[in-house]
Amino acid sequence: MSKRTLPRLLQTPAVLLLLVWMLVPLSMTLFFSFIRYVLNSTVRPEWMTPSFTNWRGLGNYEYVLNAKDFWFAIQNSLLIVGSILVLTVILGLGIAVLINRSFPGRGIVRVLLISPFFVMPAVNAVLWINMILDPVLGLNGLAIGGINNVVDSLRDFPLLGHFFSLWPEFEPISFRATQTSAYAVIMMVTWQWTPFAVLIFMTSLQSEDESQKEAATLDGANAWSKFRNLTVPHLARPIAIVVMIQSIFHLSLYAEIEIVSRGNGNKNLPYLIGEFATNNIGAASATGIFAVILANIVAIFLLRMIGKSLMD
Amino acid sequence: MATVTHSSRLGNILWPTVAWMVAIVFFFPIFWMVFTSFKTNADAVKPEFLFSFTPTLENYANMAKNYDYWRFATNSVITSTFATLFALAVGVPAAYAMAFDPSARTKDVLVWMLSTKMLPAAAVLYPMTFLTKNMLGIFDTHFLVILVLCLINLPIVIWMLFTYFKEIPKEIIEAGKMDGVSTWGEIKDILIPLAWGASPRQPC
Repeated sequence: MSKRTLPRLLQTPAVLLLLVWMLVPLSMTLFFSFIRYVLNSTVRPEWMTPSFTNWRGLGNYEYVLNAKDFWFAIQNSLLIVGSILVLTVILGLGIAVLINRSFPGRGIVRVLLISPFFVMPAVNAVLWINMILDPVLGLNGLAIGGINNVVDSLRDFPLLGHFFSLWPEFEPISFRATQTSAYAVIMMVTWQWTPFAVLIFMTSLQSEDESQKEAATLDGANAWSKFRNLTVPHLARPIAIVVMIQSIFHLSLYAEIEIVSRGNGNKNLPYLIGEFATNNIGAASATGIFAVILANIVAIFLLRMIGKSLMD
Repeated sequence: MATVTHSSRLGNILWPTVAWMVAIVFFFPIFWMVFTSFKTNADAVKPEFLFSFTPTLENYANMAKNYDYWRFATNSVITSTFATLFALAVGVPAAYAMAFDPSARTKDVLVWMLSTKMLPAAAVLYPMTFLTKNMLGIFDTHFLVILVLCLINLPIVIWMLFTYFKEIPKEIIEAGKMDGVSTWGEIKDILIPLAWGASPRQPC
């Protein structure tokens, strides 16, 4: 047995499984994207079975490119992924540094902080949109109502009352509305995924060289510059991993978007595919190919940006 | 020096307090969900019952009676357990080989594996349905869900294991080799205990 046989043998099952898993559905999607294929059609029943005789060429792609939500969906996908990435990395870094030193109850704090990651995505969405962000029934509505009550009671004050009576009643923001539903999704996913970033950063922080930091302290470096020049470079690889894994997960967000607004004003590419797939499989497949292309563009971009720190 | 000790004493109170506050904010939605589960529908939406109400188990009884809760719960447990086990069975050997015996192509293989994860699930949704319903006849079975969950998460499992294995010093493995430990012994007695914290769980 040569030296390389064993490592290859150990990798084979994983590689083969993933190869089949990638190639079979992807080639079928590719095939469907070039034919006319619908689930229900009384006028053209021959379109209901996939076959080469229904060849449509690039027609499905043209149809998708002209669909009114397509560019909006791409824009929105990028907005959601980008915002979540920025927020989770910043929050994750802050929290990881905060709980790196030992203090009373650190174990409990860690458990509390990591708990959101164990909530199922659909539960997360229902919880946030119905119980926290709802303008009437959620804490959002209750809090705004409370503020209004306080302002109301201040209006009776002799001198200041005049000032407060100029204030309008506050209106709670509805996060199911067209313009705001994307922010609701960003909020709930950030809440869920910050613990992931914290987990990854926390393990790396423990391998940080303390003597380097002490030397910096002696040289008069303040806490911020130590964080900026020692800790952040040390965390380059974990940050790369967090960004990679999260962008992959969040490009295919679905449950949250479905539950928050059923795609009203807030669609991403997977959601658009789902909408097409209720009947027009051809168009859904073409959108799927666009989604694959978008994911690959993001991946190449990320690898260029962070690839170096990934393997060191 | 006096200022340094002063500021660190302040920090000793300040930063843990901030940490506790952040933790409570993060945990609050979960607490609120559990808390609300003990309220009746009417109490749940009234501000005056925010904290004072008569706790009730009515919702739990209702859930068990009217929604077939235990069947769905069992389904989740079965699928996630077996999917995790399968993914680990395939992923541990692969990650081991890549971390401790990397070849020139290991990096490419890893990136490629992750790229299979970039294929949006929705993009292959219909082909999967078509394939499993019309051709393989395993549509709507536990087996299919297990298979899909396992394959979806396999790249992440391998990546996490790979990064953790990488942090384990090579010397430990080499010491094991010197003592005549077999490859399986290395995995079982050295790696798995050391990387136990990394044993990934399925997000479903």
